Amino acid sequence: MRRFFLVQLILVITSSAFAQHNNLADTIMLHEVVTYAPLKKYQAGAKIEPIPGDQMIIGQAGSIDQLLMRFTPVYLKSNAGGLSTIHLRGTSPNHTSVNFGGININSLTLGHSSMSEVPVFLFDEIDLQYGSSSAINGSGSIGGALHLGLANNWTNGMKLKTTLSEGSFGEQLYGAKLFAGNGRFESVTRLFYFSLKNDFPFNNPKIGDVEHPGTIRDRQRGAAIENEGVIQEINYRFNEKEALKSALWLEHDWHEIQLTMNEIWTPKVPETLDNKHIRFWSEYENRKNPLNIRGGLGYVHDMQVYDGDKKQKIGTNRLIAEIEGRQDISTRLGYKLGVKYQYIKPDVYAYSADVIKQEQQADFYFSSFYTAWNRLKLTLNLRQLFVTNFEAPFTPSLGAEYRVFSTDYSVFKLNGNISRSYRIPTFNDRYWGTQGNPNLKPEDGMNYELGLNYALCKENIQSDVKLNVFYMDVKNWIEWRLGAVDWTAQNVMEVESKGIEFQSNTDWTVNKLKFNFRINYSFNPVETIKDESPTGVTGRQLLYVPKNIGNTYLRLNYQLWNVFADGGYTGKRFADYSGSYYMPKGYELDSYFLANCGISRKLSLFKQSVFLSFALNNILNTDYQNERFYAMPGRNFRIGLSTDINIH
Amino acid sequence: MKKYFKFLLLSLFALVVFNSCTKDDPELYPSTLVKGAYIVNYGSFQKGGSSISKYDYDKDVVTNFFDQQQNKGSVFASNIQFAYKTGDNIFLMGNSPDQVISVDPLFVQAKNGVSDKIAKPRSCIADGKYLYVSCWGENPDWKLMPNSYIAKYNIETKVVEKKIELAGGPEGLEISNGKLYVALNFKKAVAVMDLKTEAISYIETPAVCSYFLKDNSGNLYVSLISSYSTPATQTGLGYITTSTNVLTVTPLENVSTEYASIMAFSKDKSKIFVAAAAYDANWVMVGGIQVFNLATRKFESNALVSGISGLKGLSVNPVDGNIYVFVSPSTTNNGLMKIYSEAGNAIAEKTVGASPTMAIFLN
Repeated sequence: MRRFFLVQLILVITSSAFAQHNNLADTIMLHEVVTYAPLKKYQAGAKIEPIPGDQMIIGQAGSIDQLLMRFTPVYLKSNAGGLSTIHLRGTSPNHTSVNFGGININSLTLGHSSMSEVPVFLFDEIDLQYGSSSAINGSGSIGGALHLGLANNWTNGMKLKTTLSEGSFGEQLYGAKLFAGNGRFESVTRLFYFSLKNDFPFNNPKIGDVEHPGTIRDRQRGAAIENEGVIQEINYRFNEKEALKSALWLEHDWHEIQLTMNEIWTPKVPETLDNKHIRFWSEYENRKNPLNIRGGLGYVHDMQVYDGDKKQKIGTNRLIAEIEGRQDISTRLGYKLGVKYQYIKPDVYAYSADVIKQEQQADFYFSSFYTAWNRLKLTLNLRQLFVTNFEAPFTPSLGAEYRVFSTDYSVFKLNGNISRSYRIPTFNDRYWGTQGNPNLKPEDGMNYELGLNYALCKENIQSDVKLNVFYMDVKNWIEWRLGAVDWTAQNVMEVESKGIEFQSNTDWTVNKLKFNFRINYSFNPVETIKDESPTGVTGRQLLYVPKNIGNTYLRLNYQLWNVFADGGYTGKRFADYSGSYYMPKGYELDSYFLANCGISRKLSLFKQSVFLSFALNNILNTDYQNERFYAMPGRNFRIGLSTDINIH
Repeated sequence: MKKYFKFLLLSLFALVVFNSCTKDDPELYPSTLVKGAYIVNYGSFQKGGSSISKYDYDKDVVTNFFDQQQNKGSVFASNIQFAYKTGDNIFLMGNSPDQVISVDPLFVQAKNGVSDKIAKPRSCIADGKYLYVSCWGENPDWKLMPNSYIAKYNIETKVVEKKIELAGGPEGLEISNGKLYVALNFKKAVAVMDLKTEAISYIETPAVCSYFLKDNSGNLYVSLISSYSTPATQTGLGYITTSTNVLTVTPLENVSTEYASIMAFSKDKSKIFVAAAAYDANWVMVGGIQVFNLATRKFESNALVSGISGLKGLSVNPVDGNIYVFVSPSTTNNGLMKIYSEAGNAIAEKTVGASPTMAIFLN
């Protein structure tokens, strides 16, 4: 796989080197991103935020976890190795769906994706949806959803983008995107290779060393990462209103399971996780008739091998088919309805074929919008999932967006959303060995949201300020607990998540100087209000969910120069409720503040664009733990070179 | 100016004094009393939380984080899997980092644990100057456990002298008739190792095994369980006559797959209490304590205690015969120690550390 990947990469880079640097108009225009626009259309009042392009460029050498932690008010529990899970609005990692085309890429066995295995470089846009959206995105979207978008460029000519970056502790990224087409037919190839030795120094308190107590300077070992992937798009446009788009995503992620601070001085050899994914989505769209038709076909193969032991494989194969009809009866009223079918065949060493051979799922959904008085937009979404041997709840959602006032230069909107959400238990929850619990109920949530949005647009200043309050209640929350004989998945908790989110984004232009300033803040108390276990803890902040998280970002653009600085605060988090002598009410990880900065310059060589960048991360050299006992890197740097070459 | 300087100096002095008086942390009062029940709290694997709770049953007082109180607040780096007392040493089997920790009867740790040649230690037993430690080995496959072994640890020199290869995931250990009996947790057998020659033979069992109890005649009871990696249709309590190594089985369904202390003798050794689940009147599987009568060699028809979810294990106080039942459905919350009389009457319920697994009783 790796050799194949490197050969492909060399071929792409070589082709660019021999290419003629003729005057090709910049034919690549990002005029439609697959995910974002249709989502907003049927979800008035939903909070869906795209990650800005400049921040995507800053974060392209890493994975989506770093991007979200730096630039959104979302907490991810992560270590420096390859494990990173999202806790959107205090929910569990299984409560955020990650969508690529018509595929939710979350593992059907584990229920979630490791966010360190979603490379930023491969995507053109990443949208983050806050709050429940099961009526749109199906099972699992209780806390929210991530949408990984590929832009439809309809390239006429050839264009190559390459990126190369080197960073501290053996970080390397090589990436290339090759666009080729004639305006109707288009091929887009995206390749990346990322590796990180992760041998950073850190302060080790050496817990348990009674002979030499005290903190020493230590060096991390056993936390290496190597990820590689390719997305091949083949798109064909029959005419302006009819197109066929296909994307094949191959991904191979390998990492050592990071040794804890307590383990690195022992002879322990780190275990490894090897994940291979094949994800294919092909979609045909026809908008020639009043009733628009969209049909999709997909295939997903996920396989995880633990510590190189191929007997211990955990995998699934999925076939997906979807058909949808959409009609805008007028500009004020429209609807869509569709069905999505999945055939799933697990391949897991711990499942008995007598218990599970295959599963079928069929989602029926209906969405509509209605606009009244040019001020009020209402949307209604309904969804019902049918699953083999399982009962899923009916899932409605109702959204509203009301324009309170608008002037020549400002708009003030009020929006709200009520939605039911659910998650059917993972395959592991239901079928793992003798511990799987086929009698589980689906997790069942209700989400209430209210938002204020003020936008200002003057000649030199544009600003967008959002304030959202939300309340979420999730019943039948599943956790693995020790039952009568063994550990099993159980519906044991009811969890209440509420909070306030503030986001502002301001652009300000002074002569040739352009500023962009962003602030994100979230206050999110999340508590278990009911726990059926005899030792269950209620009325306390959920583990690994900070009540306070916030970050800020400042970018300054002057002609061909870009300078940025960002900083993020992560509040205290409980790592357990049992605590220690000094923390008898539970062990709390310290809050921390991380600051980063960087500079980039655009150059023109042979009439082609070249970007040079330098970034300094954790400039305050903050010593912190995001997950207990896992060291994190201190001050580190990254230097990058990117090209944007028009060929032929 | 001088006046201001004096005022500043006074302010600084006051700041220092008041800061010194700030009592952020509770003070440590190490105990010098040994007698009591010491509960091993495993915590959460690789995430800390392991500790020792002390229960002074004479005064009915629980001291959580007793180990930290005795060691200047220092916490265990490892999760403590098992505790064992021999002579003046208490050995603690620590997971992740893997090590054998030695403390004195006051639970004071003077030396670092031994990690060389110790990989995933499970249980231990002493024979003279040696401590035999069952280990699952580095990076196990969780199926056949081909690299598991017994570590032969010299108590005097504090060095693992030898690794004796023993595939199958050795768990509980017992010594009888000059032989080391090893319960294999991933193979349907009990391994029998001659302590002199170190030759190993096997007794086949209908299920994988976890722990032993030795009766007054030197014969062994062994728990037979069905695990997810090696399911079995017949589980229960095995009886090994150590002179012939013949196994007889008394079936019992749903024997606990937990570790460290799933069965214990009653005070007079007339009964064995076994953690096992059964169906209640509504046909719901509930955890409980089943009673094996040594005289009749049968399980009693009714559970001593039932309806317990999250049963980790049980220990019997050798002084008063009370049964300490450890309950902890979650690894990140405090656990419970429920105390029952030998007749099964509830006496008390105490909050202990996270994931309590067993108790050792010191005098």
